[in-house]
Amino acid sequence: MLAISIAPILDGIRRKLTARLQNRIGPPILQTWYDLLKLFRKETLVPETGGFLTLVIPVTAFTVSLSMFAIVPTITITPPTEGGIIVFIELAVLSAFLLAIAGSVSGNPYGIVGGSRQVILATIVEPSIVVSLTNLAVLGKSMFFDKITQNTQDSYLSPWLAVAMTVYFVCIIAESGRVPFDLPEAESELTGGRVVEFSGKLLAFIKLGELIRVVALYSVARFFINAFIPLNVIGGTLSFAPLLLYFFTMILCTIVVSLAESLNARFRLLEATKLSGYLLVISSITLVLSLLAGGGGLIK
Amino acid sequence: MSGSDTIEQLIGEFKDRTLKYIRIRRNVYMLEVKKEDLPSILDYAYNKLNGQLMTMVGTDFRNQADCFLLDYVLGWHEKGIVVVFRSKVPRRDENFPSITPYVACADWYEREVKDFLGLTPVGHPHLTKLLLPDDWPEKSYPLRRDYRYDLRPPFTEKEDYPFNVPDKKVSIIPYGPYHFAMDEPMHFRFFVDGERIVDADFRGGFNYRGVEKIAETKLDYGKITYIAERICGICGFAHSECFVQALEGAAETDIPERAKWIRTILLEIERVHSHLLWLGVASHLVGFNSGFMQFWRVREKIMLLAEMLTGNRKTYGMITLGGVRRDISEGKRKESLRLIAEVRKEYKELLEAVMNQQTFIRRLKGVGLLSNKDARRYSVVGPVARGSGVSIDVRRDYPYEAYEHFDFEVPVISEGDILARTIVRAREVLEALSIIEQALTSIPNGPVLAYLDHIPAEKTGIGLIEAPRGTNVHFLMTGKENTVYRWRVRAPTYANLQVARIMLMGHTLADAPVIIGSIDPCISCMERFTVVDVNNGKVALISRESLLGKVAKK
Repeated sequence: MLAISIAPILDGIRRKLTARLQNRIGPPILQTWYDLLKLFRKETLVPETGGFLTLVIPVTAFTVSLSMFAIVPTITITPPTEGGIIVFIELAVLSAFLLAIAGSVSGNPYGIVGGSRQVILATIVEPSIVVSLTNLAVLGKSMFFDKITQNTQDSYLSPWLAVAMTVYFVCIIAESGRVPFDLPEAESELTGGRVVEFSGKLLAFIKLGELIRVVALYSVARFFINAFIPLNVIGGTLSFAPLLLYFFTMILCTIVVSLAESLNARFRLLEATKLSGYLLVISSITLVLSLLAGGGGLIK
Repeated sequence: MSGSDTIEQLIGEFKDRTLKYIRIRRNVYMLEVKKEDLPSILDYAYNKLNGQLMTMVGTDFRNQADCFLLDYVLGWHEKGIVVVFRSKVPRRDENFPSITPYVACADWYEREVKDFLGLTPVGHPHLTKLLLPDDWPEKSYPLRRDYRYDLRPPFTEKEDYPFNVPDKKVSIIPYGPYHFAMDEPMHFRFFVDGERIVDADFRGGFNYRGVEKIAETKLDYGKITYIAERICGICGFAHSECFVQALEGAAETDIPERAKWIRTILLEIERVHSHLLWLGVASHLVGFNSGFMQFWRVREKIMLLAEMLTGNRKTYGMITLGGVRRDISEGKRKESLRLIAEVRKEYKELLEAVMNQQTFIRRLKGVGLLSNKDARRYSVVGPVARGSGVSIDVRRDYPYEAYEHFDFEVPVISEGDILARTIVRAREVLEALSIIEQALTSIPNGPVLAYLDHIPAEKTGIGLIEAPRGTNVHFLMTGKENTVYRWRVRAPTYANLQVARIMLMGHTLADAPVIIGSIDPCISCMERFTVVDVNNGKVALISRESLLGKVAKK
């Protein structure tokens, strides 16, 4: 519920911010909500070439995104459902590929190009996410989010974690599906790409799923920040401390994405690949270094 | 070699084959030749003497001389002359030898003559329809004089345009007629291998509105000026100016100095607004929406300026035969100077910021290459030519209105990529702002409208304008009682779009919008329903009716 309500609002904030950065007034913050509600009221149309999969994939992708969100602790220390980093990563990869397939099943050439771009983008960005999260796990000495929070309570400052965090933030920009990484949709090139054949409720499911997926990714950024601003610094054991930290993270991520969107042109596939190559190299080196630095004893 | 030398050389070379030689005006000559000699003479003039094909016109002249007229208009920018090669095609023998094998850019012109007048260019490499729809009836030629202007052939379901599909194994991506990246409908068919474009074909022109037919049958001079403005929503003033210039040339009238200055100011205002619009759209096409918004913010001041001077946000309704319809008052003059200074300051700041934006520059650099050789071979015009190192600018080479009184540079860059075209346009904005300033400070006093008397029939006029997108050519033949007998509009996109295929080949699908966008296309096109079966690469065209049927089933 939190996910469903918060994700469109964050998107609304991003749209407003971007608009202000571009000297526009921008839509109201609730606009994304209105858009989704409108889409949900529309009839379901399935392209003849798409068939059953076209119907199922949006809903599946939505569910996967929702479960991604469910295993990350948000405003509390313990997550609603136990899952841990490995499951989180798996779900993240899964939802990315589901969206890629969604684009391709209809047989629309633009959808296929969008889908293949999505596959490439996912293949090159997800490893960096994996590595930076592994780094987090190594330094937090656990694969579970609540343990990581506890283990980083005593302000475990590590330069490697700072690098991993930077990498993770770039990955968030890449995964947000906005300029400069909006290649799979690329309005002016592919007329919507992977979502070109979807409309109405199905499109709403895809959009909401994507938004929730991005918010889940934002949520994990909290654990990086947590390592630098431990909970007991901002409010000790007070119950609103995680809440405060969480919203701080959300807004920070939104600002980062919005800035990246306003200041850049869309990447070409080759440029995106190169950038992710650098990211992967940096994060791998960081991981090795932090392992050497005594982050051992991974699973407690 | 001066202009007269070129002419003497031409006449000397073809002395025995020139039927008639006239000097129409100061720098416009006409050679009449036999239609059989067209290929050899034009091959020589175009390829040996480096002429530029400006336009080609077919005219139905059967009522006067029992023949059709073909006029190939070639220009020599460096010498400032225009030569019209006229040839007669007799009524009984409705064909002529095609010059496209020698002059590649004659392709569209000759197809258009076939479409509208039914004269067959013999030896044309791919003689398909250009502007008329697939279902247009055979042997029905709308620009013949005996074709009624309001006659509409019945609508059928026929769609059989033969695209040039390459032999290689490729997938086909239909691009347009309606596509986000296009402000107007046009249809490209990309043949791609992965994301790489192997080849492309173009089908367009079906939204041809028949402006020329209406002008030739229903309107008189006074009205056509305002119809000409409506040819384009961006460079409308350039079209009306071009028409008026052709007509004033045919009538050999002079217009008051002050009117010339005002026309120049408006032409340059149009250039600034068009280029700023383009810079914005180009930013949008590569996903750089902040640039898009900022360029249009600056452009808004230019629109205010246009509104103040003409009463319209666009520079419409200002020009008329013999001058302009509104004067610029002293207060408006001062206010304009202030606005221009403001725009220049904001524009310079913005340009510097954008040109330092690496992701934006990287999208433009090395993309959509057009070599200097190809640019010359296809007679491309405007910023596209100047971005490929071809130094042509009508304002400098064939000065019209008040341009000879102002100092301005013509930016020429030789890289030939989109970045070069962008920089050319970006610098032209500054030059245009400077021209407006010079004009506003030096504008002479006097009347703004001259009285035009009856214009004699069967005079030929050629209007040449450097529109924002390139050379605009209007060819005109006057008729009886202040009407136009033949009016042929050649917009710059007509010359530039023919090279889009060359620019696209070898680049990726991601670059296609900005490559097509980089020539700043301005066309109308037809509506098509196309479905491509990607698995076997076959193109299946679905007719309108069956598509509607499918929609209805759902």
